[in-house]
Order: sequence, then C-alpha cells, then structure tokens
Amino acid sequence: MNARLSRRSALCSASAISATTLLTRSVRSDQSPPSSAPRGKATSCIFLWLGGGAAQMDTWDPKVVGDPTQGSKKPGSAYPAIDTAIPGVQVCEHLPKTAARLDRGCIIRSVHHEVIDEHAAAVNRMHVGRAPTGTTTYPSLGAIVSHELGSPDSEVPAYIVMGYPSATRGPGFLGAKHNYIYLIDTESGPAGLRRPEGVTPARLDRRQRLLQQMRTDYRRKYSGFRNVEDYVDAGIRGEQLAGPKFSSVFDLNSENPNLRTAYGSEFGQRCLLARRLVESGVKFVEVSFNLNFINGTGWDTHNAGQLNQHVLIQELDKSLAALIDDLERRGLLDSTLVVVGSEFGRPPEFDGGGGRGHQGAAFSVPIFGGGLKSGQVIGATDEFSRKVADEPVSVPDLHATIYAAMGIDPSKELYDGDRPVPITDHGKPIARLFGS
Amino acid sequence: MRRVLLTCLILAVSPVRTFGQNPDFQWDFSTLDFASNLGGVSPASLHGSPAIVASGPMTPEFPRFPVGNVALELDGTSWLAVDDPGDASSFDFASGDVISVEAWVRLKSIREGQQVYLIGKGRTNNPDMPRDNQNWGFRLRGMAGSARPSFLFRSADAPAVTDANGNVTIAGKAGELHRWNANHGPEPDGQWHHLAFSFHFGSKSGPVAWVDGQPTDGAWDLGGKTFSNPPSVDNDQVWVGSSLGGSPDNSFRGGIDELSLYRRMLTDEEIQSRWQTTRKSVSLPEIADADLPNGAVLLDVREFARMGDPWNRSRTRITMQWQQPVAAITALPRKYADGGLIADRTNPSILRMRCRFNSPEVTTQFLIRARSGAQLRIDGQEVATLVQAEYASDGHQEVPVPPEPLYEFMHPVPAGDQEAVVPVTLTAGTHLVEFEALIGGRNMRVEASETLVAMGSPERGFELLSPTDASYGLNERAWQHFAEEQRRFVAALEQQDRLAQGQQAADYWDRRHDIARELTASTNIALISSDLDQMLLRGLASQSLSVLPVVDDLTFLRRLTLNTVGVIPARHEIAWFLEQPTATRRSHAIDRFLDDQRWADHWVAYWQDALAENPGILKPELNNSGPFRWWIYESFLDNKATDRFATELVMMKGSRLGGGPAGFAMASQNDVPFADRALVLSTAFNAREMKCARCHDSPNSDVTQQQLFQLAAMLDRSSISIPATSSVPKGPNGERSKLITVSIEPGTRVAPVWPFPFAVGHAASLPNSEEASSEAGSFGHGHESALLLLNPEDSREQAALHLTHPTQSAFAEVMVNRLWERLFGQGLMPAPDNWFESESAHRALLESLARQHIADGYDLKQTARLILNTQAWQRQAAPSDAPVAKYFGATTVRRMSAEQLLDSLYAAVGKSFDAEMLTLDPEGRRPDDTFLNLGVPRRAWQFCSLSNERDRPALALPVTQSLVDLLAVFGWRESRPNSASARDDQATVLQPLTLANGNAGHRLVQLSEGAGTTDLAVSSQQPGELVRELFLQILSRAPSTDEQNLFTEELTAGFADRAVPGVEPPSQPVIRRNAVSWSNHLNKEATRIKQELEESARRGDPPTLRLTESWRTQTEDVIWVLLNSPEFAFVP
Repeated sequence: MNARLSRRSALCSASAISATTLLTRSVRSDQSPPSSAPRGKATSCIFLWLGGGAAQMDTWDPKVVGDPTQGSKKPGSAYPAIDTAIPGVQVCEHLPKTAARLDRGCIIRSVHHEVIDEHAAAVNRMHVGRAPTGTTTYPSLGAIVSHELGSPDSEVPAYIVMGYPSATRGPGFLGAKHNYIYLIDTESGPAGLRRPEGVTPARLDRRQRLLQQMRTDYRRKYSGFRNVEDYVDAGIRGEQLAGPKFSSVFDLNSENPNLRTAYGSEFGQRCLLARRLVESGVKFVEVSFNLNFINGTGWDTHNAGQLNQHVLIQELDKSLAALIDDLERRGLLDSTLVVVGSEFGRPPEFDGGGGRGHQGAAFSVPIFGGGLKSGQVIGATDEFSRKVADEPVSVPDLHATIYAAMGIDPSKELYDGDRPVPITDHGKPIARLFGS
Repeated sequence: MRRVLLTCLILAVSPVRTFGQNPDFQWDFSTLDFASNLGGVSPASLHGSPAIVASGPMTPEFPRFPVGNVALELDGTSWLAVDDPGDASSFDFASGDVISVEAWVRLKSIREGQQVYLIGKGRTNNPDMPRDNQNWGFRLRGMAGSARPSFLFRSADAPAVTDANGNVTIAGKAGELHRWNANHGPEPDGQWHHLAFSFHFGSKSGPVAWVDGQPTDGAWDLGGKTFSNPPSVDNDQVWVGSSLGGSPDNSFRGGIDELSLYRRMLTDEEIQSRWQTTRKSVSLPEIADADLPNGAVLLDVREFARMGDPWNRSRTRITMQWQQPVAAITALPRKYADGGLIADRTNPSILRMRCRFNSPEVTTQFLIRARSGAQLRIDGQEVATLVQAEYASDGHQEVPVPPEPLYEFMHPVPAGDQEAVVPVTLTAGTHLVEFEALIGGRNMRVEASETLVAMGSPERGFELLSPTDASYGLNERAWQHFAEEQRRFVAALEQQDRLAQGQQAADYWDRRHDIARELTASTNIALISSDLDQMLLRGLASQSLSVLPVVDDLTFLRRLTLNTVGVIPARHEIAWFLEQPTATRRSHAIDRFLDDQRWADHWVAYWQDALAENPGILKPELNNSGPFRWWIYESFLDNKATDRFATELVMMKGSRLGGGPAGFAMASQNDVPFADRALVLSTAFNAREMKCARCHDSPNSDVTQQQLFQLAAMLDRSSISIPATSSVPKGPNGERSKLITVSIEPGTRVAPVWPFPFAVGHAASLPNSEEASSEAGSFGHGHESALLLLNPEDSREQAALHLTHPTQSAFAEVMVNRLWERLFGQGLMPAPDNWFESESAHRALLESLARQHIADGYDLKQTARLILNTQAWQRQAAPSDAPVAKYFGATTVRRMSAEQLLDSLYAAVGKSFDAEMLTLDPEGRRPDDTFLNLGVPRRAWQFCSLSNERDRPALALPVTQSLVDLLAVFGWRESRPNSASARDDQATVLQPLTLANGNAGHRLVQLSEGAGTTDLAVSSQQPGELVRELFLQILSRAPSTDEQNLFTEELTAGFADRAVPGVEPPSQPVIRRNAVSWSNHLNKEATRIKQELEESARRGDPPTLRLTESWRTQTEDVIWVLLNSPEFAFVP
C-alpha cells in the first residue's frame, strides 16, 4: 500500500502536518518504492542566504524602471537591466559579473509562498519547507542533507552555518546529531571548534594529558554503561574535529591574497570559506549575508533601506561571481549546488520612505552549478512581478529540486519516531533542470 | 438555579418571571437552550465567533446572584441577533413610548471616543434595511477613561406636508442621529458594574442613567436633543453586543449579564435595590502624609491612571502598597489575583514612593531616575520632573550616547531611562519626599525600570534616599549589593501576597483533598520508604536478581542535590552534610534540600518541556505561548498540590503575557489553539498521547479525532468546527489512504463533552462521560464530583476535574510516575506521557504510591521524600538496560540535563551567568504582545530562544548566546512547540567540544576577579589542599591518591610565588551596559557596539592580576580538566 498522500494534499500547505500520518509500526517496512523523480550528482550545497527578503525586481527579475521619489511613486524596478550570458535574459545592472556567468546557472523566478507578515515565519518556511504545527519540529534543509548524506564516521561535520543560530536552521525531530556548527564571522571561527585565545600548544597538551587520565578512569568505572562510553567517545572524536586538520580549513590566510580580494568583503570571505568547507567534505553550508550595516536594514529594504541597496547587490555580485569562478576552476561547480535564497521578495511599489514592503506571492531564487542543466530561466512573473504568471515553483518544489540535485529521493519519508513525515511537503523537482 | 447547556449555540430570549416588577424582556444568559420556552418571541442567533460563557456576578460579592452564575462573554467579533416579530412589536419604540435598559457589564478596556453596543434595534447594515435606522441603541462610550452609558436613536424622516393641491407647505426633512452621553460611567476595570437607563420618547425631560446604583445626568450632543421628532421604526433586528454589520470598533468586548428591556421608567429605588454588593473599596487606603511610617519608605502602585492626565488621582486605585528601607526599586513586585495567579496591571500605572527624613541644614543635590514621566516633590513643592516619554521605536533611531557618569563607578542609567539632578537647600528638620513615576505609556510595556531617588553630589558621590541609618551608595558595587537584596525582598513580598491572594483557593483545595481521600479510601494509609523497598525487593526476588550496595555519602549528596535542587552541592553544603550524625545524615539532607527554594528551579525546566512553554521574545511565532514559566516556578516555590497545579493550567487564568497560566491558552499561528492545548494536557496529566487525532483517528491507539476536538471544545467552552487543515484531504477520486481513518469530516461541529468513557488504567466511568450521561450536561449530577466544581456549568472546569479526578483519572499515578522517572531515570510505567498498551511490572507499587500521594494532599515533596529515603534510590548505578535497573535494584547513570549541567558548571566555579537581559527591547518601548522581557536569567531554565532569525548582528546577545549554545547541544529545546517528556540524550561531538572550547566554557575556566575559584586559588595554603578543595567543589568528592599526586604536581611549580606583590582586588566591578535596543538596532552604531560585545564575549573575563600568569594558567588548565571530565556531566 502506498502510504503517501495525494498531490492535492500537498497544495494545502497548512495541512503539512495533517498530511503526515502516524502509521502503525508494521507500515514502516511497507515503504513506497523509490520514486522516478530525477536525481542529480551534486555532493554539496552552498546556500547563500539574503536575510530580510531580497527584492526580485531589483535583482533577478527586472521590470520597467519605477520611481520612488515623492509624488510620482511609479512602481517598478529601482535600476535599469543589463543583458546576461543567457540570450534574452536580463538582470539588474548591479549584477554585471554574475550576469556574465549566468549560463552556469538558472534563475527560478516563480517561487512563492503565503507568509509575509513576519520575517521569522517566512525564514522558517524557506528553511523547513512547511507551515509550523504544534505537534513536531521540522528539520531544516541543511539538517536533512546531513541526515541523508552525512556520515557519522566522517572527520568533518556535515552541516555548517555562517550566521546566527536559530531553531529554524536546526535539526528538528532528526535530533542533535544533525545540528549545525555555526560561526558568526570568519575571523573568530566556529563556536566550539576553535580553541580560545591563549590556550597555547603547551597548555593544550597539559589539558589533554590530564583529561585523558580522568576519562580513562571514569570509563573504567562505568564500563558497560553505553551512555557514558558514547560521551567519552564523542569527546575523543571532538578533539580530532577540533584538531589541526579540520581547523586548517578555516584558515583563510592560506589562500592567495588575490583570490581573497576577488571574493570581496566579509560576505565574500564567507563564500570563500564555504568553498573550502565543501572541498573538505562538508555537505551543506549556509552562508548568511547579514551585513545590514551597509544600508541599515540589509535586504529588508523598507524606507531608507532602499537607498544603499545597490551596494548590497554589488557585494553579492562580486562574491557570487568569485565563488562560481573559484568552484569552476577547481572542478567543483558540477558537484556543488549554489542556491541564493531569501525569505520572500518585495512588491514593485515604493513605500512612504522610498523603500519596499514584503511580498511572498512571487520572488526569485537563482541556482548555480550542481550538475543541473544551466542557462535557463524557470517560471515568469506578471508585468510588475507581483504574481507568478507561469511555471509556479512552490517552496516544497524548490526543496525537492535541491534534494534531487543532491541525489536524495524527494519523495522519501523521514521518521519522527514512528510517524512518517515526507521529506518535502509533496514537492516535485523542476524537471527541466535535470537530464543532459 | 441558573444553568447553562453547552451543547448548542442558539440563545433564547424569554419572558422573565423574577423580581416583582418584571422587565418586558430579559436575557439572563443562563441558558443556551433553544428548546426552552421561547415565550412566543423569536430566538436569538449567534453571529461571528463562538460565544464564551464566563463567570457572572455572583455571591458573595453580589448576593442577588448564586455561586456559579454565568454570563455571556463577547470578544468583539460576535453578537446576538433577534428578529423583530413584525410591525408594532414589543421591540419597537415610537414617540410617547418609554424605553429602559438595564445590564450588568464587565469591560476590560475602551478607547477614548470608542462606542460599543450593548444592545440596539436597527443600524445593523442588514440587506434591505436603510442605513442608520436606529430605533434605539444603548451603548458605552469611552470618555475620559471611563465607559459612559450612551443612548442613540435616529429621528424618522419627516415627509413633506402638502396641501390638497399637492403643493408642499412644509418641506420634508431627513432624520438624523441623536446621541446622549452620561456624565459618569464605570472604569473599564474588569469588574462587574450595573448600568441602567430610561428615556421617554417625546418627553421634554431628559434621559437618566444609573451607574452602580447611582443616578447620573448627561448631555445630548450629535444631533442635539429633540422631543418633537419621533424615532424611526421598522422591522430590523435587535442586536446584542454589536452593530453596523459587526464592525469590530463598535463591538463589545467583555461580559454581559441580566440584560433587560422595559417599556416603563425605572426608579431610583428599584435600581438601588439591584446594586447589592459587598464589594469593598477595591482601593487600598490612601495613607496621609502625616501617617507615613517612621524609618521606612512607603511605596504604592496605583492603577487606572490615564495617559492624558496621569497624575490625577481622582480615578486611580491603589492596588499594592508596601514599605522598604530605600527609595529605589529594580523592578515592580508582581501583582496577583484570581487565587494567587500573576495578573496584569493597567497601562499606565503610577508608582509612588514617600518618606519623611531628617536633615541638617544643607544644600545638596537630588538625583532621580525613571523610565518615563516622573515628579519629585519635597515638602509639597515640585523640585524635579522627568518628561512623559513618547518614543519612535521603528529601529532607525540613533543609538543614544550614554550620559557621562557624574563620578567614577557611578551605577549608570539603564538604556531608555531618564535622569535628572537638581540642587536643593534643606532647612534643618524633618522633610517629606514624594516621588511619582509613570509606569507604561502608549505602546510601552507596563514595566518599571530602575526607579530611584538619591542625594549627594558628584564630588562626594550619591546615596539612595533612605530614612534609616543604613547607607546605600549609588556606585556600581553598592548598587549590585542593593539589587540582590531588593530581589530577595521582592521575592518574599510576592510570595506573601500570592499566598494571601490564594488563601480562599487554598481552603477550597484542602476541602477537595479531604473528599479525594474519602473517595479513594486513602485517609488512613501511611506508606513509608521501607514499604517501597519491600515491594521492590519482592519484584527483584521474583526475577532472581540481587541488589547493588548503596552509594557512599558524598555520591549520595551529589545525586541528591542534582535531583532536588538541580545543581551540584556547594562546598559549604558538603561541610554541613559531613557534620551531621552518620545515622541521620541522609534523611536530614533530604529534608534540607526538599525545603530549599531551588526545588522550584529544578522543576520548571521539566514542565516547560512537558507543557510546551514556548515564549518568543520577538513577535509571537511558531506555536509560541505566553511565558507561563513564572507560574510554574511559583507553583513549585509554594509546593502547590499537583492537582491544583494541573487545574490552574487548564483554567488558563491570570496574565497571558506576564507569566500567568493564561499564557498556556496561546498557541500562535495555530488555527485551533485549544486542540493543541488539549494534546498537551492529555499527555501531561493523563499520559494519553492524542497527537495523531489532530488530523485523523489514531492508528496506534483507540483515540479518535472526535475525542480530541471534544476535549478542545471543553477548553474553548464552545463547539469547535473542524478546520480543513485538521484533516487529511481526499485524493482526486475522493479516496484516502486505507491506513488512515478520518471519521469526521472538516466543517463538522464538535460539542464540548468529556470524550472518554473511562480514564487510562481504570474501568469505572464518570457521570457525564459520553456514555454515562447526556441528559443534564452538568458534571456529576448527584455525585460527589459536583462538590468539587466551583462552577458546575463551566466546561473548562469540568475538563480540569475529569483530568485530575481522584478516582476516575490516572492523574495521581501519572504525576507520581513522572517523579519516579525523574529520580530513577526510568519510570514505573515505561513512558511518562503515553501509557497506551503499556504494561508495567510495578503496577501495584505505582498504585500504592499514587494513593499515598492523594493521602498526602497531592504534596509532591512528600512523595519525593518517600522515594528519596528508600534504599533503592540510594543504591549504586547499573546500566539502564540491565535487569537489575529495570527492577530498581539499582539506579541508572544519566547525563545531566542541559539545565543541571549549566547551573552546576557555574556553581562549581562560583560565577554568575552575567547574561544579558532577555529582551530585544530593553527600553520597554514595545508592547508585550510583540516584545517580551524575560529578565536577567539566574538559572538555566530562564533562557529562551534568542529569535535572531533576522540574522542581524545588532540583535545579538553575545554572552547569552554562548550559554544558550551550551544548553542547546546538551538537549535543551530552544523551541518547544509540542509537549515532550524525554529529551534527545544521544551523545554528539558538539557536547564535549562546546564545553571545552565555547565561549561559555572558556569563561568558566578563567580565574577572574569575583570568581569563587580565584578566591580559592589565592587563599589556599598548599597545592595539595587546593587540589582537594577543587575536587570537592567541582566533583563533590575527594581526589584519589593518584589524582591527588597527579594534580598536585601540576600546581606546585610557582605556587609559593604565585601572588603578585602589591596587587589588590579591584574595589569596583566592571560596568557592562550598552544602549542598543530595537528602536535603534538598524543604526550602524548598534551593529558596531554588538560586534564589539561579541568580541568581548569571546575574550571572556579579564584575568585576575593578583596571580602570576604562568601559575594562573596552570590552575585554569586543572579547572578545565575537572569541568570537562566526563564524570562532571553525569548524575552519579
């Protein structure tokens, strides 16, 4: 018996939980056969996160130029558009470098959801792919990738976040093993992995020597206690993780200074670090572009936040282009999926202060590399990019596409205890991104 | 007797047969039964959201009404409509008719100028009816902070008068609205008030209104007065609670009872006879300046102040009053109501401090601080003021530059607060000081910041004003000392107030526990700990298992404190313990730690998980609840009986966002919050998992979706319609998976009925369970159970009784099993929250223990005492899957919970968290429905998700983040949308790693000024002694010989010369303050400041300069090893 639910149920996103059912234990072995959904060969994903809600018509989905000045307030894009490497496709003029490399990627212009009132809720939607419910906590994209592709014996963690920790990015019911390691800036390194300043090799040696004695004694005393043994083992494995091999991945100084310059400011350095992490075997890296001090509001360009939005876009352009080039040069682009996500888009109208409000009904998500069929635009919006006009891509569809690109069956069911939870809320991968 | 059936939602209006002079119609809201005698009048129908039945005016406050009287509660989105029977009906009033209306109302708020309908005919916006066709309308109008009775009617259009030839002789005139407002009205204070009104259409004498029995005049405004124009009359409906198509702005929010309509004038006498009340002045007495206490500051909080005229005392009420030695507070004591539950104060309120003090002739300076408006008067003369704040809080404000301190180490002004300093010359003698401060304001939280009066000068420094001989400096160290003293004082004051407010409830629970003892025949049972041991030994013998020996004394002590107060024993507690006589040492220690206030801290975290306490500090999201953690805390602080605890939660009263159990009623973004709450309550208190039933019948148990929604409807006090989202949609051919049974379709209305014929584990059925009784609809008709209900008709209270019933529910067993599971690491029943199809080898023991729990008046500490004193609990550990552990011939070894670990780590090194205040709006400029302030955490359970989904550096709380990181890797649930009784306890590499290298772990190890470890390191005489002390302090045991030698060797080098000559401990602590708040977080400067603080959090505490660096770092490494040893992380 196929326990999965109908396609129709997936359309009712609020019923995400409802659509999931608690089945008897016997059903668990009675899985549906692997779906015929396309599968890609990407082994890692770099998820660039434009927190705040990047305006699609000021970036990837340009429309006629509007006017935010008092009085006229003509809706439309804030900047003129330029041609790209995909014939007939334009992006905003502040993305020239990416435009020249757009044939390595695709723009999905028809992503949509209905959460706009509140950033946290929309951020959650984009990370877990469904509406919250009171009966469970869903895992995020990164945690699911960790669960599917990570290996417990790996010497590197599967999931790293460069940004602030939040439950939204967490493992939900998949459990602590699939949680991320995070860092809030590239200088200070990851919380927990980097040794505090002042702990010299001599001190480290003293610490480890004495601790080893304590560990051995305690383990002997509690021999046969599985939880004690697991904890002691985790401590030993943790020491390896914090050891020189993996720590050296975080040392950006070992990179060519010209390359570092090409990547640009802190966001660019994060992108560079993401490449290094992927290279070392990390499966999912989320890189937050949270430099809101450039324009005050980051990508949440209400009112005066709009004034310096172009600086953000230029930074994104520089770093993204450098990342694509770097991955390509190292032969990693086909195995690394780069996704540029945001919690929602913004409407074409300008607000009282010349900025923009929130819009979930239509926004863009560009993706690069990952072995997908590049050089395409997926979906289209209407005249002012207010609504999806063609090829709608739901958040579950977007997630299904990411999973499929990484070889994960998007129709697979995960288990919250005994309860099967579809890996996406019945998302379907975008078929034309797959195949040769 | 007034009674209400909760099974239908149609209200009837019926002629009334009480009170000699009958009204023509009266809605008494005692029945929702449309089948009752309608008296020939059309029934009322309910529109909008479901009606709520709430408690009405009742005895003893209003002797005319019986206990248990119920009233209609409207939430501003619903109303009743009654059809007009036709032309010239009894609802129609024409010129010459008299109309009178009478009602009891309870209103919590009304905006200035707002007009809400109690009852009116016409102006419904019904189709085919003219606009504004108000035949009559009785309303409340917000004026000067009160809710004034207000009358509205529209005069009929006057048609043109024509002569015989059809020529107009008098032009026609369109009718207009005429409005009359009373000069007085009740406060929107959440209390019951009586209102009445009479008017003779066409008479020259004006209307009259009565408020709480007293007549009041009024005045016509809009349209002016008229006695010649008749009112417009048609066949439109009569509406109760709203008008204009249900316009929310014109809809009533609050309680209505005994709403009566008359066709005659009411008299002063009859109205006075209705207002029978024992209500005393709800204001505490105003104490005259002359009667102020000597040597103390008198503080009072007045509510019902108005923003426009906050200092006007005429309408305010003193709701709290206390004395303390100093004219300064760090926070307001909580307010308690509803039987000792946290309650909200009105916004704004006023804090006043008064005292008399003696002074020589002197010229000095007075310094005042408060958040918003404030005024200081000396001897009646105003000498200093602070402006009433009105702030923009959009995020784009400048980060304020903190004012330069007047002198070094002055305690700084908190972010968003104000300060003023004025010179004052005092004559020799006694002076009267009065300081008043506005608490709250438009869009501000009702939150007092540091509010104080000080005297002095920048040269000499300032001291807090105190009429005592004690001195309280305003330097940082003195302030921290005062703040700690004040915190303890306020906690004691709050407990005293809480217990006083809850006295009546406590009496009820005593009576109820007597009944419970009788019902369960447990009056005379007296289980002792050795009885439990005997039962367990029999079980072990049946399995041919032998017991392990009991643990040594210090292992016992560490296990005991971790299991009772949630933290490892302090060094002085170890010393106390070892001084006790050997024979009674353990039982003394059990008594001591059960009696410790930290018992409450230990339990909060557990119930936060089990009850899905899930507050968000930034705009409610993701199934957020209110922060009812404070109610959990206080319940365990007061050792509240467990059935009372559960009942209070089910009743969901008190403050919603301030920490009361009403916060449990909230489940943001959930389309049926009460279904969600039903899931939580059912697992928490009856071990019945119903989660599947949210969308379909449970495939794993016999729980149906209907049952879940019946319980939800009981909590909602109303039928609930199953939304489409709580179902499994059908496939394209109308089919569903055969594995799922959806027995009720979306749209079905489910009535509030107790859904279970019998409770888990019992075969007896309850009256009014679905099978047993459907005729009365009231709980336990003719049964002892009826005695247990204060309001037998309230379905929520019925649900609470069903969940906690001494004989009909598994409640006592569930609670006892939860305690057992916490203490032993595994329960007598395997899963604490889901007993479906569970079997237990220890059923008899569980039942005995539950009966004893009932016999002990549901006293959890008493039950804990019984268990802790068993040999079984004091034995050595075995692996949890070992048979000897399954039969409790040994305990198990568990890793500390995240909270135990964090609290123990900080206790071990003698440091405080130094966490930031848990709010993103320390200035208090955002209301609490968007921004909460959870205060400065002192114990691990007080943390919450930092909600930085926005990823903004300016919203970071760096020190708190480091602590939350540590909690999270050890299984603490950052978000608690659902009930959980067990945590993810698998070992991950991040656990030891975060402790070893994270910012919190780093800070723990540092020998900085103020740390207990630093003082120990400085004062120890010998390295060996220091090693021994560190082992005792961190691992609660003496080192083994090998350990003693190994570690002593590490600390010997440089020990003799470790003190750096000439360095003294600093006289003042480091001052950490920043001015970043939501109002300015989008400013670049805010980001810069927070990034600097992040860097500072990484660096940790500055090291003490009293010790040489090389010896200090050696010692820090030793401390690091002890804290990071796996032994530390496990409960022995």
